[in-house]
Amino acid sequence: MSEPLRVLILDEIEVLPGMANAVREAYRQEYAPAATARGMKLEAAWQNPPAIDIVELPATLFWLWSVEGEAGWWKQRLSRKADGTDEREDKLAFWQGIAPLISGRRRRMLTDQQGDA
Amino acid sequence: MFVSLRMLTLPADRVDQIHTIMVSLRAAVNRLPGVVENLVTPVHAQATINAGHIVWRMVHESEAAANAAMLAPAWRSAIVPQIVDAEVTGVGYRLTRKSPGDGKARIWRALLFSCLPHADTALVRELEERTLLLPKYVPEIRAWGLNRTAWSEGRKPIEFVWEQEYDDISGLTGPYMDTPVHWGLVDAYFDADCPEFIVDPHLVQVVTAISEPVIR
Repeated sequence: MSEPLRVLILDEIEVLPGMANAVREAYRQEYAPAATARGMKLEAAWQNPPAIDIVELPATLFWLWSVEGEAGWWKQRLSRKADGTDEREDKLAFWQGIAPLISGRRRRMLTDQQGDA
Repeated sequence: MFVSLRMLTLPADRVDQIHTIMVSLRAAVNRLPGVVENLVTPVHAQATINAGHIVWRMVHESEAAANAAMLAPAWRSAIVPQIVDAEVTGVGYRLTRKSPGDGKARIWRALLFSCLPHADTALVRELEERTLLLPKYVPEIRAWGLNRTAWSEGRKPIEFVWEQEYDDISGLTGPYMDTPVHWGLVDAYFDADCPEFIVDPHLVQVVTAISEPVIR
């Protein structure tokens, strides 16, 4: 058996001036625990501007997650709540909740590059 | 050619009559005008969503012929009694954007979906374009069609019919799900975690065994 493909999930959130801390805390407290429960492993969290929040400027917040293989990816995607119902509404509610604080976002799926190293 | 595809969910007290109902439906369709092909078959037990019990897929000479079939006396006298107490999810569409296979596939699958109201038309077009990449990168897809509906009936409106044929069910549950084109590109439009999310969560996925090609 070959090793499962390591799949990375990168959230990139463009935050309105002065809202970086609010978005960061919402993501940490509301989104991250549920994502971890879906089998996602937090690999890193970055920000720009670096190191400090400059309230006069927009900011970009990044969260990098990993899942084990295609099966791990579909596990987080098709996750169910404890009562067996689809978790999709909860996911959507989170993103809609922070929508007034951001100007845009992307979620990209990444893997190691193909071809010879 | 125009397809009318219906999924029938039988009431609990008629599920054990499924084979009798299918035999009656097949016989009744023979009395309808303008039907070129007719498939009445049980829904596969695996990998289905909101699909019910029976797949009923007719190919008509034209959309007008499909409409005429529903107004034929035999529809009222022979079809309606079979389906009157079933929940019907149905679509009508021209099978024009398609690629038929070599006739050896034994599993047919269709995903019926709709985009949310006011979905960005550019995103809808992207979804179609990316979906059409799947046959190129998943050779287990032996035949396919991606078409917009002319009409739909049932619990919610349906806008697209994405159908494929595979040699066996593992082509769908394995390579189709595992390809990065699926989880890395196409699924974003179905995923509430992605900003591209535009597809109504009410999906109908129907799978059935076939003995001859459905996508022609």
